Amino acid sequence: MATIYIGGVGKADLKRLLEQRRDPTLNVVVSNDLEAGQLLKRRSDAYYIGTCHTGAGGSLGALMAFLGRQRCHTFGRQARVSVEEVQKLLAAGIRAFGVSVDQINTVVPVLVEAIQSYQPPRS
Amino acid sequence: MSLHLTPLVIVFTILATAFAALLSQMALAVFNDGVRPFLLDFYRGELARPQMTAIAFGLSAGFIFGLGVPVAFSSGVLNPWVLFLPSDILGILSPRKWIAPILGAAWGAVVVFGLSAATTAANSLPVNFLTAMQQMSTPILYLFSFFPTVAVTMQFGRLRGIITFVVSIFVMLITMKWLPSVFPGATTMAIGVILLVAFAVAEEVTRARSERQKAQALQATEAASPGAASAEEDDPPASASALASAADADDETSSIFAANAARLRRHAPYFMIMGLLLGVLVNTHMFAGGEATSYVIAKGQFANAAQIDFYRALGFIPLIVTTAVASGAFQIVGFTLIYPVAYLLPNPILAAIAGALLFGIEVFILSYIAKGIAALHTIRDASDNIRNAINLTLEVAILFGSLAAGNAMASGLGIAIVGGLYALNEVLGRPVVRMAAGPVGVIIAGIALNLLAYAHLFTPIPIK
Repeated sequence: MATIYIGGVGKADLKRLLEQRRDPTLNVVVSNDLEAGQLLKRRSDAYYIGTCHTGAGGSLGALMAFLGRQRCHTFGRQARVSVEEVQKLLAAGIRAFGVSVDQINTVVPVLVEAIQSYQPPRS
Repeated sequence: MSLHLTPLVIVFTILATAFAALLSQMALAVFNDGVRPFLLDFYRGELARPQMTAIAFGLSAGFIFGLGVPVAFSSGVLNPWVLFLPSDILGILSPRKWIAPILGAAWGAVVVFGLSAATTAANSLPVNFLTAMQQMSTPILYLFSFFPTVAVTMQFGRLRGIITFVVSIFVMLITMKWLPSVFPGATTMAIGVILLVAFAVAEEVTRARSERQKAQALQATEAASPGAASAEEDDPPASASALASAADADDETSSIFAANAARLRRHAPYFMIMGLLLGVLVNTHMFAGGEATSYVIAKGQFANAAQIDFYRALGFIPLIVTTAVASGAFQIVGFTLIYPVAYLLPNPILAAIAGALLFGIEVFILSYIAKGIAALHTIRDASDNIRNAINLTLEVAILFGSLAAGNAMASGLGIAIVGGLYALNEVLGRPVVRMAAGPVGVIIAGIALNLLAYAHLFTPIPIK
């Protein structure tokens, strides 16, 4: 079961949104970029969703230093995202996602759904 | 209202955008906090210039046209989004060092001359939406003073939130009744921030104490049962090696952070020049640091603007510091503390000196602040909540101000157009940032009403 760490400006909204799903298989931990960056470096089954106004600065700033740019993706202020698109990102090894706070409601449900249905290749 | 762009403003705007573009070209600083993290890979050569330009453009375009331009046009005051987001892109785009300042200067010229031309044109129209925009400052000033209440509620829950709200209202009332010379929003804001800080410090102290107790309890149990402790020592080395690798990972990251901070310190003179230019520009009162202060500065209330931008800085400093040490690139406007300082200083020369000194100090204390932020969770959370709370209250205030501006232009019809456009922006996936949706609505309504007036379908009403 994947753990999703959340952080940034909109983490309270994000938490509420994810709690509303009432999904017992969803493991959400409220964290922050510096903490989550260190955790993600050690764990392979954890993901991070960061929020800020641009979708990249406050959300991914520290994560890029910890994980490298190749493992981070920002949706910027993009409003529409598809599950397939996120699956592709996950397959490419992306573990930390940056979302703009004003697009949380449209982007995050799709993102979380994709993470939950994603089966990482056995290595 | 009219716009007087003095030669000082014109020259320093152009110098500031030119120098900012140079800093971006050298990957030393960018204004967009979202672009900054990418600069690490950029100056290491892992990210090519065209790719980096595409990233910068993608992250900034929406804020230039969805926030910077409408706020500048509706307030008549320059802002960092309209000047420095493009200078980020132009600098990153420039393959050679000398190209960047030329492109930056060109953009600065486009903005100052374009803004003054647009403002002059707007002022000659029968329906003057720029005058109507003056409605914006009252809701901003009064509502902004409740951002600490919102931040306290976010972080410390209902009870302390309600306490802060009630205290704030009382302070506002008392100020209005017994201190008529003081702006009531100023004292309200101050008391709110004091409460927020007090709650945060109290929380941090209890957290530290409980952690210490936990550690003591652990030691006590270990001392009481040496068997258990030795059993733990016998534990397979797996956990030990996991711990060691974790420590390695942390060491690796902290050495990256230290190297980045050192890179910034080495280039301190560059940042001091940027601070000097900004100090003068901000001191002209034709440039404001935030969306709220743009309208407040436009009304000439410099002390209030300074207070607002000082609190705003509290919300941004941790973000700026974290992205700066994580990437090795600074913020074009530093910790944003230059805004309140330069609004208040009596002349441009002092502002220039203060700007240069401030930026120099900021760069040198960067790594200490970064360490402090990493240790103090409550402060970090408080900063995130401050930014979020400022946004929430400003969105309400700016929407209300925009509706009031619509009302001033064309009463009910104005409200309908502005409010309608705001709602439309929401369902269209917010192409315009919420904060600017109201002002964009006012600009569109203003243009539409002028066209209607020329067609004799609408009779302009006097705008107060």
